[in-house]
Amino acid sequence: MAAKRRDNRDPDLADALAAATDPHAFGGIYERHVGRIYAYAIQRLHDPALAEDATATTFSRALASVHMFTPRDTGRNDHPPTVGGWLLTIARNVVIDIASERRGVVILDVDIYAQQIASKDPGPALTTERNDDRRELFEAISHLNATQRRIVLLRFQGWKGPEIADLLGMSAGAVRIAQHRAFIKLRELLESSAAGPMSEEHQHA
Amino acid sequence: MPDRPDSPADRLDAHLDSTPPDDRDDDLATFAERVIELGSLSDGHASEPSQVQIDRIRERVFAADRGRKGNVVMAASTFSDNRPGTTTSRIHIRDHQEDRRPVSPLSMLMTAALVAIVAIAAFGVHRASLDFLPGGSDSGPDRSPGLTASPEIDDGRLDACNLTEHVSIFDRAVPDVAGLETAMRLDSDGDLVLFCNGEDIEVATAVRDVAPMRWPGVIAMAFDDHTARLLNLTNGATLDLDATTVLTKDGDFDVAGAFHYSGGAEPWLVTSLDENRESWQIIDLRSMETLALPEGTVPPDTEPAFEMVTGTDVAVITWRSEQYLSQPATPFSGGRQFTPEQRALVLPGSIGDHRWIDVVEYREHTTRRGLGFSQPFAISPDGNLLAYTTNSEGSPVIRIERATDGTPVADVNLNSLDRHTRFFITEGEPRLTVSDGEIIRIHHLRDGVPELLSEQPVVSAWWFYPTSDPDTILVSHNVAGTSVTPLDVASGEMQERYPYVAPIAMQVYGDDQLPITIVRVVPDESDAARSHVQLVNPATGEVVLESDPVAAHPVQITSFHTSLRNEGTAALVPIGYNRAVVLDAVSGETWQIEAPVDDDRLWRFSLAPDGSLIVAWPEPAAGTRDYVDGHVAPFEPGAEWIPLEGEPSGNQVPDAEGTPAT
Repeated sequence: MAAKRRDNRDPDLADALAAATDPHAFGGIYERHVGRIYAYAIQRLHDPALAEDATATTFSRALASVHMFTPRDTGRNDHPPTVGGWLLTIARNVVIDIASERRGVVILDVDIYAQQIASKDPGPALTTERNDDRRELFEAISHLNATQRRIVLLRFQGWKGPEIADLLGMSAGAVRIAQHRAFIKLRELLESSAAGPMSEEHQHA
Repeated sequence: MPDRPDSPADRLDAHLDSTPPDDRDDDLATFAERVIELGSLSDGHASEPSQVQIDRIRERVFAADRGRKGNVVMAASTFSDNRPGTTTSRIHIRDHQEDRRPVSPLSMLMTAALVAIVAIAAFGVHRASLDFLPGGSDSGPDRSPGLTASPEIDDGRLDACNLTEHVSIFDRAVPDVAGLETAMRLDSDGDLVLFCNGEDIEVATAVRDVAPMRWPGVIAMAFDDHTARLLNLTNGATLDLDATTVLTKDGDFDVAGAFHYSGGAEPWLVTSLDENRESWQIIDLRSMETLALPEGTVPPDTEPAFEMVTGTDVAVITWRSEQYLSQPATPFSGGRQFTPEQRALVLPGSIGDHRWIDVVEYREHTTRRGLGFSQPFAISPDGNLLAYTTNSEGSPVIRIERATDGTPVADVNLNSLDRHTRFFITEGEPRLTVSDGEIIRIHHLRDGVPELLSEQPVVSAWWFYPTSDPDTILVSHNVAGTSVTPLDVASGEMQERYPYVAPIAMQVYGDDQLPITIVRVVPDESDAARSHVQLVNPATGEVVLESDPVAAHPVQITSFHTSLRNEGTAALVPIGYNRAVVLDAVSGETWQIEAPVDDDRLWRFSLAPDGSLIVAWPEPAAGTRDYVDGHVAPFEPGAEWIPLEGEPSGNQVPDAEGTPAT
């Protein structure tokens, strides 16, 4: 039986390599990541216009330097660099640059962000019960250490373990351990509160 | 701690990374999945871009790339400022910016940089004896707030202090570190002490918070009784500040919100005189002379902004509406908006010589970052010439005049005031360099008559900077990041001295405010996943010093927390979460450092303001903004970390994990 060999390459890596000579190949990277980069930016800047600006700048910088992206082990981390993590790292720097250039723009650091979310109403899109669950969750998150909070919040935006490791400059194993501890602690914190949001009676389909 | 294969942590990670999540019957994985589902719900802003936004961003990204590839090769280095923000108090370490030059038109940018244990204060080169003015000497055994009027302070002890250098302020014992001869210390009982050569000199008592100002020797102190005062240690001049406008409700300084500095080593400070921020005062930090601007002098709902200041004491201040600047972005095709004609305050070296000028500008509201805003002012590096956009018989011009007295020099016609308009004026036989974003024109002002010297295309000229060569200025760009290109304003030749590298580098200004060093990061020639950190002379392009390869891609190194000290000869560039590269151009040595403690915390690094120390501190624990567990080490390879620990209690060397390098 004849069978074509399946190309198991990461599409991001394939596009990154191709984009070094053909910028059109960068389009795939853009389409796959623009949503998550925007989500990261708006969480940090809390401003749609600035988040859009940050997203555009991030991809502009990435496009300009994609020819230098090399999918290889850097020697420190236990996984090859990911395009997502690379973009995320650029986005972090862009967000910092934007905040430094614009008076009054404050980066929402993770602890402040978590505390803000815990103390405010997310809006009418959620039910009252769901709002309460969310507030309680972020209240618990604010008790995690900085690394754990970062990992959990990045998970909320859809980033995967190796990408988070790239952003934080940690090994993927260290991220896994911190993540594991974070969720264990979250579970303890939420279970210790009466009828916490993760309890069965609060589950929503 | 190494993780064993297929550990619970591995299983959880595999569960979360699988798409869709796998169906393992793992309680924690299920719990985590529910947490992520709940946490990813909207928090009031749409967390996903709309299709319109996606299309708009795409256009910007790929249009910029087309422009880049079709034009001048872009130059090398990011021109983001060095932001060694740091100030500390015994209560909280506060954000502070010590930049010497603005990058954006809103030059009173306040950094959001998180900070080190060591605070920055600049002490004067013109130090006189401490002869405090009347009214500042009410310190006594009751610990009432005030300056210490100890007669001993005039006995010459200060002569032994190294007050010509930046001085660090510690919130606890001053560590015994080689090279650290002069420092300040805020004790737990509120005593503010100047420490030099092993001796304590009390400066003030009942101090709750202290913030260094940007002028040498000037500090702001907040006292326990909720009062605040400026003090110039070099001459004893003081000025009481309105606590309601400069302190938080907790009694600490609202440094970022209350103090409007000029960039660079300039003596000007602007603070509000009322809670509604409608009346203002300009303070000359040298003498504490003030200029009050009562309500109605400047438009309501505006904030002061310093414009294009230089290393001289010439400055221009405008008041701008943040509400206007913060309007939502509109597409590039949007209409232009004229700003109302406004007045700007010119300070040509002294408050007594101030004058107002009429300024006009307009800008297309394309973004909120400042990219869409024109530059309305320029001051020549020597401070002798001022250029600004105004109207002449209904037409927009760049007016050039003597900064000191407003004597006209020339008007240069502009076809329009474009959102990209930037300009720069050089002294001597003046040359005005103007960019509208696509074309750079150099006008030679011969006997007051502008002659077009050169005209050439350039992609997105963003800002101009002087160099130590009067004929060479740097043009920074904003295409696919930032970069700089040297421009010879005598010949009009735009050099391509810096090959394009990833947008990561910066510069620092010396006392004369010239960019004397660029830090840039370039890829290793044989391994693009590795980088070299370089110190570069921006005027000559010479690579002054280069580090050994660093295991990180250039784009993955943040420039924001880079420290540059000692006239640009000492640099520190953080890498990842617990490492940094250090460069010493004096000794020619480069080395890497790692966090004092090997843990999973995010560590930050900085150089002390006088360059004598390397400072490390982890991000604060959850639920607090206090910075603890700080360490310092001498600025030399292989030095041991010394922890800053314990209660503030005099000049005791804290228990050290390592051996102090003495």
